[in-house]
Amino acid sequence: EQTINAVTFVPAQNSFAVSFMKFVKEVNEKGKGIVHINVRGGPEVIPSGQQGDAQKSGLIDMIETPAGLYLNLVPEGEAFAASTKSPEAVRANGGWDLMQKIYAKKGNAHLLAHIDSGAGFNIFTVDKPVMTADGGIDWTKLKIRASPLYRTFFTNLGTTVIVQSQSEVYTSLERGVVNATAYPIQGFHNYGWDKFVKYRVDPSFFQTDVLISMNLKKWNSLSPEAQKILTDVSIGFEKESRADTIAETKKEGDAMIAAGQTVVTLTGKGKAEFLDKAAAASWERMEKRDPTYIPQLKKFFTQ
Amino acid sequence: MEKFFGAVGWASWCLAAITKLILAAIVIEVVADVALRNLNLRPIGWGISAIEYGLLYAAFLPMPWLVHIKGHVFVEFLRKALPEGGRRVLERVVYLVCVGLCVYVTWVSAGMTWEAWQTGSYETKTFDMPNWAIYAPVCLGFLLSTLEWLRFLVGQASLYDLGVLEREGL
Amino acid sequence: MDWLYPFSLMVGLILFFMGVGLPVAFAFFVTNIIALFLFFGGSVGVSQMISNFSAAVGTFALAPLPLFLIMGSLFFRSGLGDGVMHALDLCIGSLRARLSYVVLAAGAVFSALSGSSLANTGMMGSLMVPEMLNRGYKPKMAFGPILGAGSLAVIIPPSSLGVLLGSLAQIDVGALLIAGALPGLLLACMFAGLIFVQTLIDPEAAPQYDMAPVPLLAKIRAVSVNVVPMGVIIFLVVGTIILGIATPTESAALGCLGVVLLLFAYRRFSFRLVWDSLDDAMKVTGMTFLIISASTTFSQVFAFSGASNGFINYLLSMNPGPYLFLFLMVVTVLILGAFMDQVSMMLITLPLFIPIAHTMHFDPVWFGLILLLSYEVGFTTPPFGLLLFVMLGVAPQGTTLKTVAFSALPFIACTLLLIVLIVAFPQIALFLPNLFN
Ligand code: NA
Ligand code: NA
Repeated sequence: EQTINAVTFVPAQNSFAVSFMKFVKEVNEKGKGIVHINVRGGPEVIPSGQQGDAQKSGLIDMIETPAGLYLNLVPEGEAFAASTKSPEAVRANGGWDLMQKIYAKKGNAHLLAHIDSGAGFNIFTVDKPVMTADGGIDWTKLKIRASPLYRTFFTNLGTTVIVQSQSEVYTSLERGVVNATAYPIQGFHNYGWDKFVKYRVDPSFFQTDVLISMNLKKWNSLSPEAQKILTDVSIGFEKESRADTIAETKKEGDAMIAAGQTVVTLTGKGKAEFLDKAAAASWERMEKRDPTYIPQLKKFFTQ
Repeated sequence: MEKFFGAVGWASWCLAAITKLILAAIVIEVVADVALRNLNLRPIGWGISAIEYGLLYAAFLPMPWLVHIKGHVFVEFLRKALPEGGRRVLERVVYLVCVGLCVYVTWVSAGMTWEAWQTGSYETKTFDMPNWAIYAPVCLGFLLSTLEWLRFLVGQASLYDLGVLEREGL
Repeated sequence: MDWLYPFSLMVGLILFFMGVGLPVAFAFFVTNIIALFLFFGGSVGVSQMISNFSAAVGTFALAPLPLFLIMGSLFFRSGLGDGVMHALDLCIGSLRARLSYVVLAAGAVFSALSGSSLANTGMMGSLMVPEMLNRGYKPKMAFGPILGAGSLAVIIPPSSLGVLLGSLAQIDVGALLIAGALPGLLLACMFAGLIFVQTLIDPEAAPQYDMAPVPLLAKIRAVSVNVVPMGVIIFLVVGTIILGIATPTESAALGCLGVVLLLFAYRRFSFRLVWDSLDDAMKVTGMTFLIISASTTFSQVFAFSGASNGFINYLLSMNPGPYLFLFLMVVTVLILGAFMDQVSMMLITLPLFIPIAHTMHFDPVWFGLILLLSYEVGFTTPPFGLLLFVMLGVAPQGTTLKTVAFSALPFIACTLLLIVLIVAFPQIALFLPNLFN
């Protein structure tokens, strides 16, 4: 039996880690006697920002980590977030194979799956957003907490951007340091932010970009049998977790609405501009870092 | 020899002085950020990430100077149990272990700094930070610490004759 | 029990290297490298350790630590602290052991202005010990109150140890700081009661002498000149958090600004003073951050090797119940505290304690405050007690560690009593944080 050491980017109780454990359980059941994944922990073992490097160097065999956390190694990984397509569609049109090639070359990695897709990020605000005539929002009124992934996008919208770690957001919302934050709907209530934010802006932007991947050398050392099990489970789990995410997002979104959250929907020109700026910010940044594969990726992931 | 270690000490002092300027800059940046925000002006976007790297530098730049002035906190509960002669031998062994450790970490971090310089790799926070600038303070800190420990190893100075008021702690 | 091998090896190595006199940070680095070669990737692991430094100390949550240090150092080096002491001295009438009470009151005021027990004890000790001994106070009535009053600094906000604990244990730092205010004041009152009881038992310990009566107007003047303006700093550190002007992280910088403004107001500002204060902050920050960098890797290898999970699951399997667990944790800290400084202790114990606290559903702020009080006791327990060393440094020639340690003992008992009270009545800790939530 071959053993694979794995880490996750969030602590064990977080829903992304729980989802990964389902994948691990399935592999370990089907791979009995052939391959076994041993989850060694989360960011307490390797900080989430270092997991891409640890996989590249072979320190760890497998990681469950968003592409956005190691764009320094593989800037093209941002295409997963900017994508408007399902992982299934990207596999079918050849986009996945191209990504596989890029990750092998730049991250020394073999991609297994893009999991928990089907959800995007929503902006949540404390005060009622001021609507503009063209169906958009007066973005200049927002002081929004951002992660590096969507910082450029928010700056382009005209908001005041404050980059903070996740753990400071609660206090910042409470003290008015920020009056808006962005996060997927699923898992939002875990942070207690819904106590302060009363408005959700639809539509969502970007797509969650959590990947399961392996060190390339470790992958090549696996028996064809083990590789087949991992690939099959990955493809199945990609679909399964997408369906779960869509259902769970709907459920948790409805629950927050029932608890008093109001949805503000962008329309017309305002909406189009919002989504265009989101996409443009990502693609421009990728182009600036390495333009080689961008036209192809754009075709596979958006058209 | 004395001249050489004098120069090492001077270089260590310079790194410590740079750290002091970094700490002062952090105070100014945070105060400015709070002021701008409460005046409803746009806060300094790159501020927090810059402070975070400042704190990294504050960990490694003062390291050799603290070796020099015996500022790294230590305890001695096993050492105390030894007779005088044993303690003197142990002291040399401790210096030797520290020199060995610092040489090894300097070697590894120098390799990393050089490779990062060659490949142009970077880390993404609010801005892109080149990796060589992240590894360089580590390399520099351990390199000079190697020499400062060497001064203890070959010289007469002892780490353990420290006045109690000079000890550091929270 | 396959966790037992990495567990005992790593704990054994770190205690060994510390014990033989390697500076704490270097002891951690040596242990890490051995453990990396045994359990986690060898030289690749060492490279990973170096790339992790940025994540370990390059985090905004640690920024208050140097900032509080700068603030406290500016305050004491400038002589603003002496002024506070002098004013309080005028105000307290001719009680038996009056200087012991003066020290205690000053300690409480300084605690609200400084986050460092070492700074407070050093300042009060060097100023008051000679004076008290000259006046015929027995050593226990001089050393004890100063040590007790000095240790208040880490409980009453601001507290650099509290910031560190909050950020390492992922406890809301603002809530943890505010939670310390009430227990800190309570502890100060208990100390005052203790001094009163001590003078009842042994009236000879502190001489009664007559003070020239000070007119009320002079008292009011002294207080309004020397003590009241300190409210500016307290407002900037605690008030701005409560009013939502600043986050807990930012308030530390505002505190520095506040002291600088006061220095200008008192015409005591000089660049020399600023440079010296930066020197103090640089030394302690460099020392502490290096230990944090080193010990972060220690906990990572500890976690990867299965040692921490194994140990916790083993303890959980014995199912001792929450209160026995809490008792065991506090006792562990008290024992370690005899040999180690506060930062190293936190770094060794927190990776084990925090998951247990989660499993037991302890309130994190309540639990954090109990830990903070337990760590604080280690300041004054021999053989390794930083405050004892400071006191020895300012005491007259020939004072022994034993004398100083014994005088601290009753004050330690008070702190332990306070821990029991907080366990029994969690509201002592949680009332203020809940009020502001
Ligand atoms: Na304090
Ligand atoms: Na102690």
